Amino acid sequence: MGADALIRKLEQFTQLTEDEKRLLGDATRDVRDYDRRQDVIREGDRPDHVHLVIEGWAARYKLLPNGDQPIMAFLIAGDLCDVQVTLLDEMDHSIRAISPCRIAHLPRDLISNILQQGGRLSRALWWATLLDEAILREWLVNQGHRQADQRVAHLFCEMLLRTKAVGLTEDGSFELPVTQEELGDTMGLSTVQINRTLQTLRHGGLVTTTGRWVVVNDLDALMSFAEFDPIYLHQVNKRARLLQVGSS
Amino acid sequence: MPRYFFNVEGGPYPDPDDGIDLKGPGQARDAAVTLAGEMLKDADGKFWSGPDWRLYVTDEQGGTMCLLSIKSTLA
Repeated sequence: MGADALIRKLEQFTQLTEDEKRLLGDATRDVRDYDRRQDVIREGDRPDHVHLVIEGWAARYKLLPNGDQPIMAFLIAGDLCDVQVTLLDEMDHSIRAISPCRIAHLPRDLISNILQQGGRLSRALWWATLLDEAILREWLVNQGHRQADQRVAHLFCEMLLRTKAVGLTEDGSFELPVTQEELGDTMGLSTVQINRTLQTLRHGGLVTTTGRWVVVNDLDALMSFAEFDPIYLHQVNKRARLLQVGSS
Repeated sequence: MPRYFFNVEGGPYPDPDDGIDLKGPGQARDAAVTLAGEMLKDADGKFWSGPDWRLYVTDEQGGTMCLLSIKSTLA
């Protein structure tokens, strides 16, 4: 079912009922394929749909007059791309596939209705939006206040945990379908420095790369090196935590 | 595209470079200046207490095509 990763992600926050899962499943029947580098939605668009990544990686980006294309977010399976179109008139940034992608088009009115009803599903979608903001905050801190090798290591920690949360990791490794140029656009670093930084992380034994796969050899060591605190990913099931508190 | 190697002596990348494919000598020279700036930014004040840096770019034949010498002098 197309909504599997989304349900898995939202259930980090709260347990959904079978009816709620069915509603999300019904909403994600319109799935379309995108080629690498194909735009999903462009700045200024007024879409009728909310987009959900089913498979592959997409990126939020801005196209600047000088040709630069800074990337502000990576979107993976289970990530809603643009819930904001239910309230905002037009897109203030663009989203494109950075690997071949399968993306569901969810009717905007249906998402609007869920949000207006204000129930558990509405809060779960709000949680997902707050999570996007928390990640964006961490990216801002990462870009402005960490050294190049720490920045890349920090991103690797985050993407390992995010892909793991939706079942995409294999033995501590994850697929990174991103070019060094795109990593540079993400980190605010030149392609050459990204290249040198990746070599440093590899030579130091923190990661191994096999094709597009990044193997994190020792997550604790990589987290320590990157000064990575996973708290901003809010991956602890809040309901489970409340139950724990209630029973103690 | 030709491959270039960004070699750093004294600075943050002591290991031999695996190299990167760039459009040509002009892009490699521009990239060397950018890399020098990025390395200096990360070094902060530590640069003053360390050795001078040499950043030189070599091509696939091993020829040096440009050199940036980054020196510090405390007055």
